[in-house]
Amino acid sequence: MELYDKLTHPLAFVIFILTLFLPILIGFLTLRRTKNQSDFFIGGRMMDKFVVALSAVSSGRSSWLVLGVSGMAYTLGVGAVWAVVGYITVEMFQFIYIGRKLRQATESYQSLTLLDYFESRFNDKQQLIRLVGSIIITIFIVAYVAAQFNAGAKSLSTALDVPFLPALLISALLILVYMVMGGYIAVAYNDVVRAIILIIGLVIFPAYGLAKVGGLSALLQTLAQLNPASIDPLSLGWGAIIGFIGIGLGSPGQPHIVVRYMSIDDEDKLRLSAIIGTFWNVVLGWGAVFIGLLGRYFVPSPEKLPNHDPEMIYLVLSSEFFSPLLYGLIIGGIFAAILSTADSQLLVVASTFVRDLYEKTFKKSTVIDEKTKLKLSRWVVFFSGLLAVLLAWIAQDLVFWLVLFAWGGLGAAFGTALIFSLYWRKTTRAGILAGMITGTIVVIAWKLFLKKPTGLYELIPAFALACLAIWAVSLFSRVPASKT
Amino acid sequence: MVKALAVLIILPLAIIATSFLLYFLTKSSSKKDK
Repeated sequence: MELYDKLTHPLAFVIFILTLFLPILIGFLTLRRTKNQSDFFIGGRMMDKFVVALSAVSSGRSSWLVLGVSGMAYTLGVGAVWAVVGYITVEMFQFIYIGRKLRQATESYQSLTLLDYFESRFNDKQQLIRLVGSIIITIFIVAYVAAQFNAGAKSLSTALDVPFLPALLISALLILVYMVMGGYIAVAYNDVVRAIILIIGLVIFPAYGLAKVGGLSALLQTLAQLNPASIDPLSLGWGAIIGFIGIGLGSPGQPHIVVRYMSIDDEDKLRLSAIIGTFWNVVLGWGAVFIGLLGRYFVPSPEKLPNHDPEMIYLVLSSEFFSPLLYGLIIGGIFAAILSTADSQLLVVASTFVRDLYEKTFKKSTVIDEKTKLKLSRWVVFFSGLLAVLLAWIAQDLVFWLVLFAWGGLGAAFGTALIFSLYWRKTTRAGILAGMITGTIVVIAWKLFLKKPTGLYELIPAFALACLAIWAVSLFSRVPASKT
Repeated sequence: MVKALAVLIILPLAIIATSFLLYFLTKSSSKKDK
């Protein structure tokens, strides 16, 4: 593909390969810091505020931001900002309110996972929350990881001109090697490095583009000539705008994002993490929007994009604008965005299997020593990675079907449960279970039957109905004997 | 054009400013707690 021709330049190729292998070096460096299961899953609750802030932002943003939002801005114009406003605002409040309370509660309960926390908070001796939650997490997140592997492998196979299967195996191995070595600590430090790589891709790139077109006014004037609606942020209609902003409701329910808050060394530092994380989120989000707008300026007709696909605009512009060195780094940055979500999610799957199911459900009467737990956690990371590879290879349709529901499903099932458990004392175990099940079912049903006729993003009704279910069922079931 | 400039320039700055505001507001409330 001519888009990647520049990657055959030796300098671009070397830089690209270096960005792919740098994470393994970081994994090796963090190997000695990972001594027990708590280190492996939440960095021993000793992570710095900068690492937590950048890691929470990087792991939450996948290729959807780099390729998807820039493509959306290319197609819709300025109105694409609403797709980033919702989650950025929600995550800002999340650092300060949900994050601090969750960090406090999980330390007092000695919880390593979100399900650990729910079980202790609601004194769930029958372990129903753990079981139901594990099923929801496993289905959605394994599919999510498989889809990330799939996207990574497709890009890698096009970029390096290798067949899909070796590209898939390379993508997975690149992640698994450092994850098995350093666990959460390696993942978090890698997120920081990737965040820095993304500066070039989503900050310097649009700034350079704006300078080239003669500033923002010149850009907007040209876009208005092409299509006046593209510079009107309200032209999408309120239904679409509310749907875009509603994407943010999914954030509190993403286990791979909220686990970051549990890992910080001091909960009060999450206030500063909120500033760092918000600044970072804003810079990346608006950077992606500006790339889409600049794309429309330089390539007015989508017919000229590979496969007429607006999501290719990021790659097309970077191949035109940049020297081989920066181009290599930018292509590496796309993999960075894909992999930084996949590794964090894989860690959540592993913690669900090892901590939630094996240790706390099947072997709860047995004492397992730290060394064995750590060893087991490493093996489970490796095997769940292989499971995701297998899914990405043999069940692509199923994977993409599940991924359609993943952000919304996790958001409605766990986000509502988390908020109620932290902020409403009368919440009961039955209420939480009702909310989790309602959220999951409504997301799936709405997407299948009501999305088209209503045009409403499934997470919004699912979130509202899950809240209603938690509230109503909690009122009708007994008050928990809770410590909070 | 004005609306476009508002969402591209003022909105992101307002969000960042809110995060600073939250930092200072929560600081004073945690002092009260103590």
